[in-house]
Amino acid sequence: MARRRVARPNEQVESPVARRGPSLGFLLALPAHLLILVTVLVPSILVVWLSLTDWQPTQGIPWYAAPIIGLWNFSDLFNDQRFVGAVLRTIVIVVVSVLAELGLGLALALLFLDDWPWRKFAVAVIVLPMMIVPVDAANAFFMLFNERGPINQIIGLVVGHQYTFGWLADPDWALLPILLAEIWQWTPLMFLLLLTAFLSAPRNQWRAALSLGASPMRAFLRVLLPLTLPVILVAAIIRGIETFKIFDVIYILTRGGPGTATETISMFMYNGAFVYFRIGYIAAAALLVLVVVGTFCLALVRSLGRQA
Amino acid sequence: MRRTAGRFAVVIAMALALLPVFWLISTSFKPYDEWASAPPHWLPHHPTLQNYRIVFAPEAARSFATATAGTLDYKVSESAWRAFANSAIISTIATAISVAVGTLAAYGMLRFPKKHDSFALQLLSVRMFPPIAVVVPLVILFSALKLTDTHLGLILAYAAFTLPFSTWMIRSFIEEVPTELEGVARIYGMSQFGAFVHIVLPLIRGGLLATALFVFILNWSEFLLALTLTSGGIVTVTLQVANYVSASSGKLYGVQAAMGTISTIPVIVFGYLIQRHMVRGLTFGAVKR
Amino acid sequence: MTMKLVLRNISKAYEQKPAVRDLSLEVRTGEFLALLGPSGCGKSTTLNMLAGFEAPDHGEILVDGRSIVALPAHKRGIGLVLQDYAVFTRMSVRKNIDFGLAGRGLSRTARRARVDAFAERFELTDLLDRPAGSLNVSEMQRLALARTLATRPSLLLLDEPMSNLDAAVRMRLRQELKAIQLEFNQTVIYVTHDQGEAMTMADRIAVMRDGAIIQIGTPETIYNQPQELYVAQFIGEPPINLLPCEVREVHGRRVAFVPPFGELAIPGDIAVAGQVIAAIRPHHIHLLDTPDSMSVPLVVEDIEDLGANGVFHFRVGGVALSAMASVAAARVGDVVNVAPDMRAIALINHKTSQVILGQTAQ
Repeated sequence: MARRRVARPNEQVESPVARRGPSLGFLLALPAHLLILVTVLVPSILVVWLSLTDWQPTQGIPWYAAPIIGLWNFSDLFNDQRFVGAVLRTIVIVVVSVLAELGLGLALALLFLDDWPWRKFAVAVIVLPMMIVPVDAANAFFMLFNERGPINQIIGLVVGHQYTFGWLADPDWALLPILLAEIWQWTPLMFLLLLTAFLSAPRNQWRAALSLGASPMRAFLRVLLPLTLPVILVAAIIRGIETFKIFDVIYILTRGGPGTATETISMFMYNGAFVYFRIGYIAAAALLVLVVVGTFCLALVRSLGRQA
Repeated sequence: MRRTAGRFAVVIAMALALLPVFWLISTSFKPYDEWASAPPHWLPHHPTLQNYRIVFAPEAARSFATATAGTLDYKVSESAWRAFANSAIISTIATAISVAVGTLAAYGMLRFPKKHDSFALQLLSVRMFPPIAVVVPLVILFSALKLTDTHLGLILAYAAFTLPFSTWMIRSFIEEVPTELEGVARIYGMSQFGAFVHIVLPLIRGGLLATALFVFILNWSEFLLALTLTSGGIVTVTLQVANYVSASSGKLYGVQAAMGTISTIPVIVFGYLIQRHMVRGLTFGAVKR
Repeated sequence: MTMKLVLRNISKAYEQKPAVRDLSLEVRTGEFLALLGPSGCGKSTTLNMLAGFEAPDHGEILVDGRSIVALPAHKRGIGLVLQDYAVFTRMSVRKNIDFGLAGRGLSRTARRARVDAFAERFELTDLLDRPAGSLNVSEMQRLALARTLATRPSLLLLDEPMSNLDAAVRMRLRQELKAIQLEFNQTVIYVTHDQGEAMTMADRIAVMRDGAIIQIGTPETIYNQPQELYVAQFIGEPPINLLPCEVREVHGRRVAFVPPFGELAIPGDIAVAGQVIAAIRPHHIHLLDTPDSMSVPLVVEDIEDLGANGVFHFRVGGVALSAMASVAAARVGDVVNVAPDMRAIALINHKTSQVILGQTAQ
């Protein structure tokens, strides 16, 4: 190691750093690289190998001796209605959830722009759903949507007669409790983000707009929204990516059923790998998803990085 | 006029936010005959601690099983203490590793930026893949390394999967420390790493704690990895909750609710402690208050 | 004649702490009123209530005779220019000026003409198509003024608009603002903590402290006849001299003995006894070449050179005293003959801080 040199007062302190940079910088990032290598990179390479095989562990062959079938898995995937259905369903869930969370979060944030005595308490309560373990939240919704549960009871009061509907067993409606659980849990995040955005610097521009005679709607659309759009976009994208991976809620509420009515990509892959044990096939699906999502996200991150 | 309407809407929102949690807690205190009663009881008519006893004491579970449901799946006739212990151990150690590794990486990324270094963005993209896609080969890898169904396996996996959060969150905290401070320390003869340990770390103490709690919450709530990387030997709290649901076709409402209520308490407590930083964490440091 | 603006018994408190207390004010059309006071005195809160961003807890606000308290901010027709200008950073300068003209029934050509006119007025013509966020501070300030005045508001509120500008720009903008105010007969309420600015620009000054108006009057009145110690101290640069003195009975009359200078006769109808404070402005203290009956020799401790004139600092009985005179009058360390104009001394009851005997000289 080079002898430590005390820098003279006017000297750029950066230079000794840059000179010895590579070694310390490398060391600092090393543990992270190792961790990711073992748990993410190596498995990703495995996925590539497996996707070219038709490995099914139930057949008793070890994975490195699995029969190679080249790109057949991929062609099967494209023709697989179940897979396509899962992809479409996932996209629908992502779009509906994120839009609902944004819309509700926006509406809520607008309600919190001024101050009143119990405002802090209200924020704390509204933020509660974010602090619940997703599995427990799913559990709660499981009980809420029970045939003889409170939701049906309330509906019964509204329509006037007793209402027992098996939400989670109905192929047409099973997605609703799932969507509601997801939206319930994550709207508070959007709410907080939007509130933060609205309450920061732009407030004076908002006030200026009002005093110039713009109605609150016009001031919101022409002044506040353009200023907060970057934050909203980032939030929507991050939320969209996380929703794409949705699993816990589906597993607890429906396991993807009834049939495949609520099967998302994650559920499809879980079922395929851990229920049907068609590992090769699922590896191909995983690779496909990894590549598509990966390129999409990297492009997004790069464009966001340029903006910021 | 518009103001009172707004306040009313806020109250509705609060009620909706509370509803599922309220139902969970309320059901956890209901006796067996009120679990799926028609009409449903919003508040238990005869509140009891029975469900909590079943969750924690195997004897209570077994006697309950014979008395009412016939037999209970072995998974849920075990006490939940083990699940809590497992979750606590795994979450804590994984958090420590994740924060430590992430802090080093974040500092390295910020102070030693290399021109084509995209490691930071690579980390971010780790978070973008559906974990299920990585889990399948991970299971194979872990079984080859004899890491399946072990504490170590889950700890490593948890640490890796929360690394993007910890790295980016800590990075946003380190960014708030002016480089001049380390520069001054180096003028006085301190090494770069020394400046890191003695100057930067103390200044981001609060941020480190917030990140640690945040990552702990993520680990504690994690489900998919726990589900796939274990085969019954190790049970975390989330797994235990899922076991209650599947083991009885979801009919053990009261016990499910009790387990759910307790398992979510640490997350609620820590969550409110770091409420200010939740937004920062969930947006990878992009949005700060 | 109807007052342009009337505030009656306005009060507002935040969590038990009063920000504005029982404030009443009347402003004439075309008047330039300055709200002067240190930060925290309630002037910005008053402005917010006028603009409609906060509601008073009690009281009434009338513009042209009509109550506006229930009117939302965007319907009040009151122009507001804030300390940070709050220009719409993402819009062009042109769009900024044009923003307030929408929905007022102006034809497109009329709007464009007005935008061009005001841009020219405020020297923004070259910047019309630039994004407002790229402007420098003084350009932003001009833009904020331009876009607000373009809407011909019935009342113009300005919250410390010049505090971020350098001296030269400030002077130009002050002149421009004053010129426009006179030309449009614009009623202006100008919030500031800079007493020099208020003295230069305002028709009347309302001195505020702790949420109430202490004194309101023309700059001359405020300067020469302060009613309170606070006002006397706040106004005037360099600050007024304060000398503790004693009221005595001499030959049956009451006088205030102002050490070391002499006595000041107190008229019989004024009740005062014991300790009082004598206040005299530095430019009413003269440095004489030759001593006379009133003068006292003092050592010059320090001189603040202001160019032609200077502020001479003395010490009298442990109390600081300053005088304004030509810089050539003396040097540090010299002994000079210092004589106050006794008619320019005001006496202040130091317990109530009220002025009990105003100065008789101007």
